[in-house]
Amino acid sequence: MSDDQSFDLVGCLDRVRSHDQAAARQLVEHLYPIVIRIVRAHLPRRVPEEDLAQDVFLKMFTRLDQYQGAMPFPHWVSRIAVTTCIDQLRAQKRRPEYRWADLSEGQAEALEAVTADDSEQAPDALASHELVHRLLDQLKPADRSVIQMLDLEQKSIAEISSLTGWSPSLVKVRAFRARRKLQKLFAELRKKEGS
Amino acid sequence: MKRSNPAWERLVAAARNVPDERDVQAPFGFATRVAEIGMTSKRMGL
Repeated sequence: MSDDQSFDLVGCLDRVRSHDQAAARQLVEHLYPIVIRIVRAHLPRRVPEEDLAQDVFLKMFTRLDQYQGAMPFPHWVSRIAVTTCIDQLRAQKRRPEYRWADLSEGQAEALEAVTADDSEQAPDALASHELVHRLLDQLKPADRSVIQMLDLEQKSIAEISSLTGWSPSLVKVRAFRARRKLQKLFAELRKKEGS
Repeated sequence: MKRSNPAWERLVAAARNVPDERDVQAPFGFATRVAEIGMTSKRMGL
């Protein structure tokens, strides 16, 4: 969000509701940092981030009359952003499957470092980041987003529940399912590593 | 929440150390374009 603390969000929303295009532009500029961070975190493969951010803002304008003020407006827009990203992930019917041979040298070393029982070597951060996203890409969209928020962004169950509209129980179920799948993916990669 | 995959925990902890230094300001023309489309759709009740 813009650092400009003097931004009059309530006044801006009133003007947007009166079809003031300049206010609509200011609103997009004000909220863009929040939206783009979410889009980048949940971005499906081969989808340009700007296109997805545009979809989020167009949904925001379309649904503006439904906003009742029950939650802060930036939070309401964040929820639109998260659900739009999950919908996009769902639209990609096929999820990639990676084999040991598909990993880069750095990713393979990172995998080795974290799976070896006796390794005290810290894995390379960038290679770990790439490998994490390769693994996340193989999860179901909703499960992927839960793990992204829980483990990478370190959000609480309550925060994820609020951002997605899912109950805390459902968030926990999705996290459990995702962790089980991740464990399986690790085991498969190690098996292939050994063969 | 119970966590039982130390390899994943170590991997994700390392991954969190990668800073995201990309610009978060709207690219030039983005807000104008999106506001125009958004307001047109709104006026047309789409």
